Amino acid sequence: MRHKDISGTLGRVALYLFIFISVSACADDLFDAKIGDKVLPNQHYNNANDVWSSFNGIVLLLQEIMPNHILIDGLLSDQMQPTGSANADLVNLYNHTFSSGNSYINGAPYYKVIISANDVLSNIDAVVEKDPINYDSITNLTVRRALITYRSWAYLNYVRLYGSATIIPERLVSIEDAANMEVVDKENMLFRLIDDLTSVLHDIGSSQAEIYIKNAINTRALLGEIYLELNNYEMAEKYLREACDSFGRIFYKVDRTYSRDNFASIFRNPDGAEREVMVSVPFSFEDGQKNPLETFFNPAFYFSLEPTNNIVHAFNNQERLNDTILGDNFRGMGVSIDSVPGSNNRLYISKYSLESGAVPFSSDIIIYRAGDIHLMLAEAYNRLGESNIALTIMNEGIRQLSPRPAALRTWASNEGIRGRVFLKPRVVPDDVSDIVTHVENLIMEERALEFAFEGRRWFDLMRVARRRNDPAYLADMVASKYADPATAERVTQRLMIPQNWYLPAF
Amino acid sequence: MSYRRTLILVIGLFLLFNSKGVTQEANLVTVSGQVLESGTRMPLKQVFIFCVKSGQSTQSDEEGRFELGVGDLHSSLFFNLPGYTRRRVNPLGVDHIVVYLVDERFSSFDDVISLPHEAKIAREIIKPASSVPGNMLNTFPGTPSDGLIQGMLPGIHVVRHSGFPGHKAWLNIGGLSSIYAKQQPLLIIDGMIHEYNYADQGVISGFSFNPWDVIDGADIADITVMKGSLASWGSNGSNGIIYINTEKRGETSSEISFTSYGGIGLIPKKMSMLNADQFRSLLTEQLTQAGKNMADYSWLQDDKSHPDYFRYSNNTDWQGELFKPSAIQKYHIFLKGGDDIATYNISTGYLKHGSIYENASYSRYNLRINGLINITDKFSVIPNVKLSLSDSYLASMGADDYKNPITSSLLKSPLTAPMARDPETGIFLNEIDDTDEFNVSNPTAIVREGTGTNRNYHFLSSIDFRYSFSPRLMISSLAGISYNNAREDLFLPDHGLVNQEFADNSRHDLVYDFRSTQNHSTIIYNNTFGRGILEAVAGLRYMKNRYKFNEGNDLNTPSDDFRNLGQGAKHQYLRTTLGDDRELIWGSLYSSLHYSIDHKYYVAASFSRDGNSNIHENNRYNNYPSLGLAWRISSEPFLSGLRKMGDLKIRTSYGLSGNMHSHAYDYSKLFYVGRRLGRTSVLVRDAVPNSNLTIEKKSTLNAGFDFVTASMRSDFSFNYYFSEIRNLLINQQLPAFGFENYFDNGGVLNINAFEMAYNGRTHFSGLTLTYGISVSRYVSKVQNLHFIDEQKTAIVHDVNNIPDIRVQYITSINHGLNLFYGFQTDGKYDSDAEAQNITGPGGIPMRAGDIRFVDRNNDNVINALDMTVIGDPNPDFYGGMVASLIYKNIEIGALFTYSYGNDIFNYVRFKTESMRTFANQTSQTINRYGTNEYNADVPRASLGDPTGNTVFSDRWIEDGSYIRLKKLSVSYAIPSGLRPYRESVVFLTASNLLTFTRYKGYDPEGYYENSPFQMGIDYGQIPQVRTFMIGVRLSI
Repeated sequence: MRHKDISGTLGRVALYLFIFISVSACADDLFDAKIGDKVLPNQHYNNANDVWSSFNGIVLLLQEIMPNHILIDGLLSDQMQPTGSANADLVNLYNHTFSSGNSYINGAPYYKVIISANDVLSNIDAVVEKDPINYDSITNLTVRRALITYRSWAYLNYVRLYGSATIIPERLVSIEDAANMEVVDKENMLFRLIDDLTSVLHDIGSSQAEIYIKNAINTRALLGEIYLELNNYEMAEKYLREACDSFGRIFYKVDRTYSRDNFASIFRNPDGAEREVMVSVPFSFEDGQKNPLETFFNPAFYFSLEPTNNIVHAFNNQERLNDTILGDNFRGMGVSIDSVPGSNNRLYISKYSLESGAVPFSSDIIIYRAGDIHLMLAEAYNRLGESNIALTIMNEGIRQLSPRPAALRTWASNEGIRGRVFLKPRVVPDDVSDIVTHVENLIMEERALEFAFEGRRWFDLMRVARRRNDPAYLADMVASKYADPATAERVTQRLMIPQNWYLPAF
Repeated sequence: MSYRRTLILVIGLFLLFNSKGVTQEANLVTVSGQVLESGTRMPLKQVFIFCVKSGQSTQSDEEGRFELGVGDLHSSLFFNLPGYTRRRVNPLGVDHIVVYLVDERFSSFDDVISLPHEAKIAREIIKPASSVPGNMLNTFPGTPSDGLIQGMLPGIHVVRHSGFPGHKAWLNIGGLSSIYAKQQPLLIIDGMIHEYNYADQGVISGFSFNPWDVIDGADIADITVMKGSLASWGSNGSNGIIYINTEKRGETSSEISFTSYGGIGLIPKKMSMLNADQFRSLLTEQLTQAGKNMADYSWLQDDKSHPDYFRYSNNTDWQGELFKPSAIQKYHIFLKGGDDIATYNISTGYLKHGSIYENASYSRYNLRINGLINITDKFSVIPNVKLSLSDSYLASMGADDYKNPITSSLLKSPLTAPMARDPETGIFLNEIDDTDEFNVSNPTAIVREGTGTNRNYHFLSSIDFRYSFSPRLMISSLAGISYNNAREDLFLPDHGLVNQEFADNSRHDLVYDFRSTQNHSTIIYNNTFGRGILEAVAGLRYMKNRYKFNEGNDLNTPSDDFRNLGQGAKHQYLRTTLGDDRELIWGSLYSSLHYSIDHKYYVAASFSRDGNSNIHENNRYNNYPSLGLAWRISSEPFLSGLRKMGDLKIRTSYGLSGNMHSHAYDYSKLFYVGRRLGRTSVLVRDAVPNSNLTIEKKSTLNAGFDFVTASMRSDFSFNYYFSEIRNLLINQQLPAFGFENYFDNGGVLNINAFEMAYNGRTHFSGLTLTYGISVSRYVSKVQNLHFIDEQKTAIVHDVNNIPDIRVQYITSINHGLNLFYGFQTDGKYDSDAEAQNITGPGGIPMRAGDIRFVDRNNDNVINALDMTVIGDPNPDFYGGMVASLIYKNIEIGALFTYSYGNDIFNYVRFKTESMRTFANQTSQTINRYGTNEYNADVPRASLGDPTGNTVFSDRWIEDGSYIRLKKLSVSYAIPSGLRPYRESVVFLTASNLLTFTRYKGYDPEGYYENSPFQMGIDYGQIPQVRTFMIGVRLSI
């Protein structure tokens, strides 16, 4: 029996140690462990930086939406067609033979924006108390407005594509919150969105001046677009015009800056083109954010989509202002479309390859730009009976209009959409009786050129066909892209039923 | 160390019985009998026989006969003779007994089995467990540690990932039990949980380091596999436990032994590929199809003036160029010694195994120190250290064949040569030939310039404090750390390799760091109440794991001479880096009771409550009960006929356990992830969390029996398991909510499994033949899957690491997990007229010579609606057979492993028989459609395969059944006259000598990754090859 005296002590120590460990194991925070690079709610929404990083997180989600949005728009409408290397899903979209299994038909990213915007909305009020110096209540209202605008933008585009949408509850932190969600049709959704947007506009007072937030969608532009969708031209005119006036006389006007410069500079350098680009989704290949459109369009990559003859002819048949040569050389060849190097007359969509020499796959995608709002405004003026103003906006610009209407008095520097790219004004021949329809057709033709491959055309066709209660307007436009008469006939038949315009939801 | 605890327990029992026995000395009954050797049935003399109840003891005489006074005819008698396994026998009311003792070289049901924190006689076990004793482990030297249980034990499914020596194995007990959570059993080495699943991450694709190699196989004393749901291990217990004990048992107090072997590994059996002429004919056909101007390829027509003539006028056997025999060597020293106060047990070793091509090898240095320090009579400390450093050199495996030398060697055109040739003279130059016209990497370039390295530093150490308050009560606290640090790198050169998207050459580095700190504390109480024996254990387990990794990928260095991170192109967008840092904390309180009466009726119950950091706090704490019953039916007086035949015990147990190992549980928490928007950092919400997500729970009902013949020469065990996994994790992919990762507990899975093992031994005129066979089977069946998306009926999983074929697994109700999902085929179309009505998987009409796919819905269009289950990677049966023959000093051992009824997707054959690229193909394709003697199995050559002949179909699924003579070993013990060695053994071992299979690839055994979503896919991993080794084992 060695060390007998200490063995009792050791035994007690061992027993106490054992009990101590057993008891300490019951402490509750014992199980707080790192789960990789993830930020938990208690670490987030504590200060202004948290708010901004979450707000910009929503912009990031648009990187997921926009390329797909543009492909679907181009293929369903009459602007893009598949090449031999296109996969079946792209071909099916082009032929209007798609089914819900089509990998490009994915409404999920729109809902991601909605859920994320709701998440930020439900957490930021608390930040005003936590970090009042950097994040005051006025800033909070501005951020709220920007968030609700993003959410509304997502709902609007979803409902235009799919025909109806599910209303996501503001606090979706578990699947139970998602039970019994309300599904609303397009028209009801538009009214809801108007309510949402109008109320946030009023939160900060009715001043037209916007508080500038980088990457935010202009609330009034969106409201104007929704009213236009609803054929409420007065309200559309008001909000679209106010959107263009958001930052005074210079910003958001199609103006001389671009008459001297090349139109294409908008796409080359959106940061420097802030005046014209109201909001865009940035991509940066260097930072791991690749704009995937190049893989579809660029002949150096898969080259699975190419421009249709419709859009190519439309560009090539434009009459220039000062000479007799045909062709839109500011927006057409060399800008929106270009020849495949080393081929005979094979064309590719070059709009997203404009940053030649720079890093590929980094072109930004524009969500709203001044030209878009201008032509929507023209559409509203036309329907309000002011076809002359509408044509002026489209042709030579408000600066040429005399006298200028009171509402447009500050638009002295406004260039026309066609004027700045040196194309001849489009006019209404004397023998036309339905001037409004004729001007509207001209505006639609102009929009097709101005926003070629920018994700507008399909929505424009649906809006006008619905407004005129004339599905044939859309059906004929789309059918005209097919060389095969049988396909053209089948697609016409299909598109004569407006319900077939919508994509299948899940 | 478990052995020591057993010893303490046994001594305790002796004392206990002893004290009671004295009081009953008055009425002694005499038992007489004979002790015989189990095999030869010869009498055994000088066997020490002891009755604890009466305190009487005696020895057997020359005839093996004895007489002993016992308390009553139900008192246990102990029989002890050095060299034989100790036995306890209950006379069961009879006054004359015959007792057989088993030579300790052979396994028996009286072996002590090590279990975590306890040790038991195999005969007394209630829950299903089986064990490989150390003496069996020595039969087949040179086996990787985890290979030691392959084929040796029933119920555990072991599949080597590849034939590379340092590569880990797929381990599974009793069938796939989950879709998204861990399938692998818990590995416990000397009381420490040895986590090993983190090591799957790597830059050398298809390779994962084998964490078992922290110990050398020669240091393993015994391995026990515990099956069923192990409630006392709670959320760690649903995949069973493999328990490794490195503390050697033995009588000798000091020992030095030295083992060394050396040998050679052969090259695999080559696949039959097209030779230059045959390839030329196929190529001409394809170039014509591609509409190429044949004048550009005049070298095909023997035009010597063409500058590429010499480059493309070879007839290279690429497999022959690649495969090289390899060298094998190993040295291992074992030291043991000490006194009453302290004993030590040290071993150290070095091994190096080459692999089948140049620059591929695995080397390892091991050190192990076990000790025991008796500080006082009651207090002891047991330190335990294991250290290993290992280096693996190999190229990538897997579907990216541009960097996999094995598939490249099959696909590389025989017209090309490994080394470049002078275009004028045709003289071979001292420069590796660059990539060719056919866009296949040069395998010589891959293995000479592009091999990867994995350096692994492993440290597993613990210290166990034990204090015995009395023989009945003991506490133990084991604290330890498991640490693993690895660096893995891979350089893919520009020269000779096919370029990838933006990469000419590329460098990949991975560093990871894993540490696990643990404490396992237990209180053990033993007591005897009349005829009942109680053992009660209560304890606490705590484990905290942290895993970090950093990975960097750089590309386009100025030239292949620059091969480090940071040398890559200036544009940072070409670099990628990634990393993770995560923890897992698990704490468990548990208790168990084991009560037996007369060694006839047994009841065991356990209960544990644990918590872990993976699960949302709503469901963090869980309770796990278990109950087990056993009845030694042969001890019943009314079955005395049975008793004469042997010992039969029937058992049943029920247990509940959980599976906390899954990243899916992350989605029970609301969280945000960091991303970049342009140059700004942003936070994005990643999921709709499911805070109700709860742990997968597995309940298992087990029933079985163990039968040992009275002579102890053969035994048979059978186990049946019915498991139900509730709360099965399912990825719901809720598109409507925009988030891909929504997990819920939406499924129920049943597994029916059984296993049986038979071991026998025969002795005749000096020869001893032992043999064993095990058969195991599991059938998983999904009982229920609940999808939120009502249109969904099955989980279809895309295998995403295969660039050129879409491979899917399906999991649906009433079927097993992860079955191959694709198209069925039914021969070929012989005429265009017949084929044109059918739109093929490529979306265009089929042609004559195309595959006739089964049009299941008869719509003349072959599309996703025609897909069905085309194979099951799970085997119907698996197991092994082991046999050994001992004659005097010679022992011959053979181990067969087999698997029956598992299907394999032969990706290699897809690549080498699809005829859709300019790559070389197997000689099967000589008889393609369109040639004179075409074979009904081979369609036409179709460049680019527009009609879709090569889609994932049963064409590529093969029966992977095999039976393999895994080991054959002959050893000769030099007669002990040869001093100073106490034992000196020379042995010869051959591995993989014979394989019987219909599988067409190199090796029917091999899973690419340790994931159920890679089961049964053969990407052309390094196959297991025949090896021959000669070695010596010397002991002093």
